[in-house]
Amino acid sequence: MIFTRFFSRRFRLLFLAPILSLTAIGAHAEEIKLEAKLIWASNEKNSPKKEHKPVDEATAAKLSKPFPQWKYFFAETNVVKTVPSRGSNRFVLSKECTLEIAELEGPRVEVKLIGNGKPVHKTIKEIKKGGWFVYTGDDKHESAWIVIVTQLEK
Amino acid sequence: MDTELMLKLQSWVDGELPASEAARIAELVRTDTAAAALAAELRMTRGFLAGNEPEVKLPESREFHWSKIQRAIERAEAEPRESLPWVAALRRFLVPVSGLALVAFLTVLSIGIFNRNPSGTGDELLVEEETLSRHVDTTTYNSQANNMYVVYIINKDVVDDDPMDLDSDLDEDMDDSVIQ
Amino acid sequence: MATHPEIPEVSDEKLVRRAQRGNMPAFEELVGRHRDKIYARAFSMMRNEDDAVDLSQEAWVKGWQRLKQFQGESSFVTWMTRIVINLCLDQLRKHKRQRAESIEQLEDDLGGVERQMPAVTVNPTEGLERTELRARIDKALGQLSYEHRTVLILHEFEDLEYKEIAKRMQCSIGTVMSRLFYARRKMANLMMSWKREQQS
Repeated sequence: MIFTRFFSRRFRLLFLAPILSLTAIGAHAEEIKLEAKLIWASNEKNSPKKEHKPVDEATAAKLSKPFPQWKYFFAETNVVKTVPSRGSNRFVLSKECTLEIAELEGPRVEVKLIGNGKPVHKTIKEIKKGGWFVYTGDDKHESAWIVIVTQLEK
Repeated sequence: MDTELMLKLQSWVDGELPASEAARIAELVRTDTAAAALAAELRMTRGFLAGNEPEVKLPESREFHWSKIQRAIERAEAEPRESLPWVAALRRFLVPVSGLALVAFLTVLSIGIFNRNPSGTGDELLVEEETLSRHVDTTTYNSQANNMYVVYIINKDVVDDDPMDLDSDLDEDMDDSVIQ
Repeated sequence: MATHPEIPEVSDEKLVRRAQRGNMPAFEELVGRHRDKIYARAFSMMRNEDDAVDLSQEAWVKGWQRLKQFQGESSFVTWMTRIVINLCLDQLRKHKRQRAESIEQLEDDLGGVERQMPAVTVNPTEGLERTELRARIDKALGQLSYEHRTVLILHEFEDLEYKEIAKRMQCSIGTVMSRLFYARRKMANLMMSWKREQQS
């Protein structure tokens, strides 16, 4: 009898715990301030585009780890926006490159890469402060484009 | 002949040009002497390379080479497999199978992952990806040490169809070659 | 080294099946048969003896670890070659930053005169003995940058399509085509210049 009562209470606790924990997760949804950068990578010291500026040393050092094949990195665009809780926002980085970012519970975000107006790829993950989420691909003539999404303090 | 045409000529020589364009290039080779000369050179280069890869001998005796490999295999097999921290934590909760044990297991797991310290490692593993274009493939690089998750977009099609064509202007350094 | 007298008569497929069941001598025989080929592939990509030895050794260890995954969709040596190629590509990517300072890389970055040279219309390898031809090809490969050499090796010697090369090198098909074109033109022009030197 005692065992049954103990068992029942434990069972109820264990049964409710996942529901409670998921509810706690749901409570993490909030608006999120993000920065999206478009960077051009090359082995040419000078970029053909006037608007390109060399990235700062810290960014270059961090980029050199996953991209050791490139010597120079140039910042093309920088967009900072807030994505509302359970909402989304567009980050237009160039006429060819847009991100659509939605805030999901977690807090996780869904980052959709749009290239020349067409959806290319979608990723759902958490973006922690200080962490980088990156999309990259080859560009023409031995260069690459790199998109970096980071979370900023509100 | 511009660079793009020369690359199409190469694709035609390699049999990688779509049929719709192949006929046009074939006609160009028939009528244009420069195109014909370039195609012939590309075919000739392919010809003298085929089957003539330099032969190099391993500069170690068979026995010595094998002994190193064998030792490396033994070392690799002797090392315990790395466990992710949350897997090791999980094992503590692998109690005899029953419905309640499974619920307890899932409960502890979910609490452990979602209430983890921000510098913990469990959340980075919860990633969903979906490729939305049939023109691309992707590979992923995840570095927890550098706090970075990288998705490489690889175009499956020729450069003309690059969905992420950021620079549509011709590169100034890529001068048109002149085939005389 | 103790060898099993019957092993040299056994096919690769049978040896692979035995090795998949944990038979180490069978794997040792496979290594013995194909070690030069695997080393040659590593050397042609790395152009450095020590790196090629280390990487080919690493490839064999990985081959042993992954042997159960080999289903016979290609020959065993082709499968092993792909393993060593991937290891070489990883290594080359890591070291490319340091190598960017070399003169060879600088010449490639400047665009190369070879793009503008007239087409080679005479076969520069005609009359060459096979050994001499291979030696010249080897010398010419050594004069290419790692990107150009890799694309050439993967296309001409591994018979990979542009798409597959792009995937392995993590670049676009357009880049593969440019690099292959440049590498081929450079090869043809080098062979031609050596032929002229020989004749003069």
